[in-house]
Amino acid sequence: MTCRLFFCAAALPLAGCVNVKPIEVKPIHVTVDVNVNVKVDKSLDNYFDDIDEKSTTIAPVAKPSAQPAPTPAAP
Amino acid sequence: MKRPLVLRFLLAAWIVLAVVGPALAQAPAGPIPLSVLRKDQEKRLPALDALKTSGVVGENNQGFVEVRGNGGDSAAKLVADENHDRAVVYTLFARKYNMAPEQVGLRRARTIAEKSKPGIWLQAPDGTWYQKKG
Repeated sequence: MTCRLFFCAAALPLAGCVNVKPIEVKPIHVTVDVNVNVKVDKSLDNYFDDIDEKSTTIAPVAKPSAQPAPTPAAP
Repeated sequence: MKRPLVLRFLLAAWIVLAVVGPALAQAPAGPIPLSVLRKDQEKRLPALDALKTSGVVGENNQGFVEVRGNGGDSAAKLVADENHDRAVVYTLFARKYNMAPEQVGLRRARTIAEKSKPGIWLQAPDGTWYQKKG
């Protein structure tokens, strides 16, 4: 019994030596935020595109065409 | 006289349906569909564009329209209706993506500021109003 108590008392100071480093999760959080913002922008565009196209106060956004623009002929 | 258990259950169910049924039938069917909102917004678009072109109404930095000049009651009503519909849209997307409706409004405000034509009044993120230049 005395022996066990001795070991416990001897091990007690070692408990303070455990070093736990904080886990850095900021980059993951930022990535999630960016993805959500992109999704929100896309949803808003899907909803408002028809209205914006009919509006006279909002300029239509040039959508990228599938075919490349023809090159002008050399003079 | 003792009724069987099934008969008593059916009687109770019939009474509940008779009382609650009509109330449920009169209740609104749920949230307004986005297609209905969009049609309403498209209907008021010419009048809203005219107010924005004349400078009476501007686009603020929260994704809503604001009366800046003297537009009268009709302008105020139009702006209130438009803002109501926009708020519903922002809230729906906010719920979908688990974020605040204000954040969705901010995203929309940024797009409006980018896409607006010259001459339209816009509110900068710091709160100051400016007329978009060409």
